[in-house]
Amino acid sequence: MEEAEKELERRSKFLNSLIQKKKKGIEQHEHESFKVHVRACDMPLPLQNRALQCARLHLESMPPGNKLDNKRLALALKKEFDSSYGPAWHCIVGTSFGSYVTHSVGGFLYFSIDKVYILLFKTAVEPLDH
Amino acid sequence: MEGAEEELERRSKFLKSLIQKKKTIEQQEQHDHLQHNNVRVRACDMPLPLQSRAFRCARDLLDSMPPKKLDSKRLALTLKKEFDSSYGPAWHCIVGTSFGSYVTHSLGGFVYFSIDKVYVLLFKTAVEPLDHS
Repeated sequence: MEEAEKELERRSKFLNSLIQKKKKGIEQHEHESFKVHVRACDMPLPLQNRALQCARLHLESMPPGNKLDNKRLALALKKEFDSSYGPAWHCIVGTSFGSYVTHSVGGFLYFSIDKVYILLFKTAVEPLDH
Repeated sequence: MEGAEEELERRSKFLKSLIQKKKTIEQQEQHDHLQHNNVRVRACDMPLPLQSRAFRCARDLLDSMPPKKLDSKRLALTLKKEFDSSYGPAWHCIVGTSFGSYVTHSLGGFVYFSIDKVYVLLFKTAVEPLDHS
C-alpha cells in the first residue's frame, strides 16, 4: 500500500511537470505569434493568408523592442503582392489612420496584427502610352 | 536687319521677364496660401490647381469639425468624393496621425501633405473597366 502511494505520487508529479512544460510552451508560442484580426475583407483566402504570413514574418524578424517601420512593412507587402499577383497593389500601415479607397474585386484586406493596422488593396494600372 | 534683330532680342527678353514675374507671383501666392492654412506639402506630383483644391477642401472640413476631434474617415471620404467627381475616378485617400504607405499612382495624381497635425495622402489610379457585355 505504501509502495502504491509512492508510485501514485511519483506519477502525479510527472504529470504535473508535463502539464507545466506544456503550459510554458503554449505561453512561449502565444508570445511569438502576434494576434491577428481581419477587420474587413474582399479577398480570396490564399491571398489573405499570404498577407498575414508576410506581415507576421516581418514583425517577427524585428529585434524585440524595436519600433515598427511602417513604410518598410508597407513596401514589403506591396512588392510581394505586385510580384505574385500582378500590379498594382497599395499598402498603408499604421496605428492611427482612416481611409476611403476604390479597389478591384477580390483585392481588399484590412487587418490588424499586434498593435498595427494594415490596409492592402489592388487597383487597375494605367496602360503605358507607348 | 541689325535693328530688327535687336528689337526681337529686346522683345524676347521682355517676354521672358514677364513669364518669370508671373511664375514668382504664383509661387508666392501658393506659399502665402499654404502658410495661412497651416499646410505643408511633403511629397507631390500634382498640378497646382488640384493641390489647392485638396488643401481648401481639407481646411474647410477641419474647420467645420469640433476642435481636437479628428474624423479621419470623414475627411478621407470627403476628399475622395470631391476628386472622383471633379477629376474622374478613381481617387484614394488616407488620413491620419501615424501611418506609412507605399502606393503606385497615376501621373500627376499624387499629393502627400500635412494640415494642422494630421497627414493626408491623396492619389489617383486607373479603374477596372466594367465588364458590360
